[in-house]
Amino acid sequence: MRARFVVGKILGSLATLAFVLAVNFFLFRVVNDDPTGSLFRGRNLSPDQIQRRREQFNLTGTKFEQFLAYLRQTARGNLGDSFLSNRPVTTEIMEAVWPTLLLVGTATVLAMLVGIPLGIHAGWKRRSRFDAASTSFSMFTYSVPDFWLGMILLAVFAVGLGWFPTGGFEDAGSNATGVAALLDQLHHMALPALTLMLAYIGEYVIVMRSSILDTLNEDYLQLARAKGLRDADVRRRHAVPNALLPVVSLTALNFGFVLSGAIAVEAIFSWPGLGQATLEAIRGPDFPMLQGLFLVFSIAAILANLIADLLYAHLDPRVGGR
Amino acid sequence: MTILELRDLHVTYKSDRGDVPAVRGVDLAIAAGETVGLAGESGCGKSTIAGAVLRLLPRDTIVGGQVLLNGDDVYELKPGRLRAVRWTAAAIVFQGALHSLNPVRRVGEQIEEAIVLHSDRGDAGTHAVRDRITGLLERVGLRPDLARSYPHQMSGGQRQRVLIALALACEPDLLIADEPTTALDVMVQAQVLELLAELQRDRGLALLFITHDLSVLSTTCDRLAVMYAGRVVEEGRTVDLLKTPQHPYTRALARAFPTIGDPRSRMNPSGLGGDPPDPTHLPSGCPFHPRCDMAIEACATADVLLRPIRPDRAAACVHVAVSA
Amino acid sequence: MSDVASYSPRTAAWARRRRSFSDGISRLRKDRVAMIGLVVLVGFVIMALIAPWMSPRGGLSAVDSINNPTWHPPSRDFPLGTDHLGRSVAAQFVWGSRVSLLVGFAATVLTITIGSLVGISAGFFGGWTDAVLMRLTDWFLVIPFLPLAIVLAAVLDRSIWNIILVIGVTSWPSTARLIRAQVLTVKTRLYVDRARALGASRPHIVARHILPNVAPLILASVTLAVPIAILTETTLAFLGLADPTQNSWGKTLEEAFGAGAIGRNAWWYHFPAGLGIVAVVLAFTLFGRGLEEILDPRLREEGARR
Repeated sequence: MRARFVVGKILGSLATLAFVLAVNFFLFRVVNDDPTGSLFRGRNLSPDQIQRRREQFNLTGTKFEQFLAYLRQTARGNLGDSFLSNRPVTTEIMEAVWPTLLLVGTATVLAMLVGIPLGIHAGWKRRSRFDAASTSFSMFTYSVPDFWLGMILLAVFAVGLGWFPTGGFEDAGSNATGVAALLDQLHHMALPALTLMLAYIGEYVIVMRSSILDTLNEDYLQLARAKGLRDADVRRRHAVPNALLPVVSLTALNFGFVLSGAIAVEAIFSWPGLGQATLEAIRGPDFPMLQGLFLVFSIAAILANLIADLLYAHLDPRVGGR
Repeated sequence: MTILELRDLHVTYKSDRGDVPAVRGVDLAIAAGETVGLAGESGCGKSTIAGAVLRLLPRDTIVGGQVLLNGDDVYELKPGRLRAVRWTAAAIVFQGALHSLNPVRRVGEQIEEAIVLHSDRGDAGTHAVRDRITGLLERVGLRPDLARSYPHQMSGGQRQRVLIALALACEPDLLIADEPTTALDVMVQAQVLELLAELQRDRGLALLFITHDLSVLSTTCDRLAVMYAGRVVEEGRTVDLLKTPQHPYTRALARAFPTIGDPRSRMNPSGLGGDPPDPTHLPSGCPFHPRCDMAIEACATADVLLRPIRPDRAAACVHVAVSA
Repeated sequence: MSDVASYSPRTAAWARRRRSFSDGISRLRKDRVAMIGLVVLVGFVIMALIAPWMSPRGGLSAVDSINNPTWHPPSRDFPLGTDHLGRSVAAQFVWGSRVSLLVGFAATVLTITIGSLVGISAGFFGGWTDAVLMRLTDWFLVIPFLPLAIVLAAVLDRSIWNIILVIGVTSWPSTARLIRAQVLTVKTRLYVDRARALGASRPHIVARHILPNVAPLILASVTLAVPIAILTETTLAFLGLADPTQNSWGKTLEEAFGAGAIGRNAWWYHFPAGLGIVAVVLAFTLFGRGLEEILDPRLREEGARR
């Protein structure tokens, strides 16, 4: 990879970040003419309090001055204080990041590990019974709202059969440590992780399958077969390495949604992560929190996008000016 | 010794629009050390023959007749035996070198894969294998360090040479070159042709040369077979066939390129009107008759198969029978 | 084309389009899966249209349902049971299809309109217009879609039109990209150049040459955008961002979950709405895929060659 390529991609990401910051600023202050109206809606505040809030949110001076003040503040890592808890938004978010990362990260990895081989097999044996079954399954999970799937799993496995807890991160009041605590957390994570895995799997199957189909007509597969390679080796050594390229970037991109991917599902399982925090911020409404969450979600996506681009260039010798 | 023999080969593809008869009864034999040219427009079935020899056609394709490689019927072989025969008995220089090489693997690896697969010379990465790759690349006129390159980093001519080196990796008895020079410019084309001719002489390879360009074949081949609509319509020794073409189609093809030293042919580069026939809707009678300037009434109804004219010479045309 | 005097290029082009259109219809009719999707869709659309005759709107009001039993399982009087306020779940299901489909279609119209305008302008004008529009499109593509929609919906008032607006302005970028690519392909074809050379005005070129060639793709995008819009509405409604006065399927799910339908095993409350969403989304996706396969020549190739 040439340095110019990498620098170009990083500059592009910074431009996107600038755009996000602008959206984040103007959305809350410009969409509604009176920013105090949208920022403090539903809150009973005295004129005095409102003035203090105005200063806290840099609502004094011209729009441009306000924007600069917002940028300065954000660059220092100050995202304001939550309306609901009165604690810094940054602190609130930091506390909720880990549970979300754990839950969605696990589900994404599992979905990949199951979905990619399914997709490869379905594409290679296209129009077989296996292909029909796995494609139908994927289309179905693709069409199901993830939180409803969570509700059904919750109703069947937690409420009905009682195999799993109905929600939370660990047993309330549990002071278990070590392995016991880990098992308890895994027990709580099982249903939400299964829900998300089922919700994600379809995309991997469909993308991997169509990527394999794209390679099927390639001349290099014909040549590999002519060399005398076994069908399985043609697939493993020639079709899959090429077909994986788009899936690698899909995966990298999906990791950008790790933080924001489980908003509704976390709500179903009372999982104390960023999704739950988002729901509470909506209900508040807690605009500083919402604004901070949006910024964090976007930064994760921008980073994932950058990584996807660089990874693709690293893996595909044709890209990146090598 | 006969390396490849096709006996009444029929190939029919399955498609959404119905069956597509691409090859309709071809007989052809190639001996060791011999170069045979197979000419015809695109869609006449010549590339299908290359695929049929190594059983590379789509699984639902119907293949009739026999393909004998070193005496064994390729279509009777067990899967393991078939894989062993591929690339050792016959190797193919595919058309379109850019797409025939795997874009994400170094060219050296792609050659190595064939060597390791078919020899007990050793595993990947050993000295013996590396020396062999170096030797192959040098033989086709490439620097050995190009083995570490990816296909997109090479020129079209270099890629074509890599494909030839790849085809030679397992010292096949027969080399099938399917339009090996089509995508190249004239200079490189001449170099690649020269290389193929050299290799053929040095190793006593049997070479089946497939192209739409008769001028390429005229200098390289001992014998020529001209195909039209899935059949051979004329065959004979190259010089003989080009000098006195018997089939009107061959005559049209021969007229289409200038004969060096013959001012008249330069003045009259008459091509052929019309398009090749759609294989799903072949014309009745002789399939060439709608484009033939010598067609008579019988041509529209009566199909004509190859008729021997003299030893080593045959053509499929009503006029041949009349004149002979 | 040009050597047949009685045949102008334009009539030839239209004849070709008509032929490929009727050819496409007959291919589509042979696609059993796509046809099942279409039938299911038509069924739901009819249900949404005749909702007022199927079930009186009063069934949705808690005040009018005051005498009904609460949490009642399905029975003769209440085919899908009642909820925590005694309202008929069946009535909510029927009326919910109306809101979900309305939002799905209206948001899609907005999405496709913005996407087509951006895509066609970028592709047709090229140069800096293209650069600016595509930069903007890329930005929107990178920003996670659902959080953006949530933030927008949270800032705006809760109303069905704002939900439509939110979905429309957040989901156009992929359509814009698709359309731009197609416009570029069409543009490079010879006849556009020829039309320009003959002095045709830009609106003329867009109307006569670009639009007819992009239209099939727009149509395919529609069938694939509606399910996304419906799913987004469902999620936004579940998060409490929907119009509180309109009963969509997503809203039903929110209320069912909030009222504790799961703990009470009141499956009749949350199951039908979810199933309705799955059925409509799946039907659209299946029909859309069938349509896409016919309209996108690249996909057709795959089937033909092997």
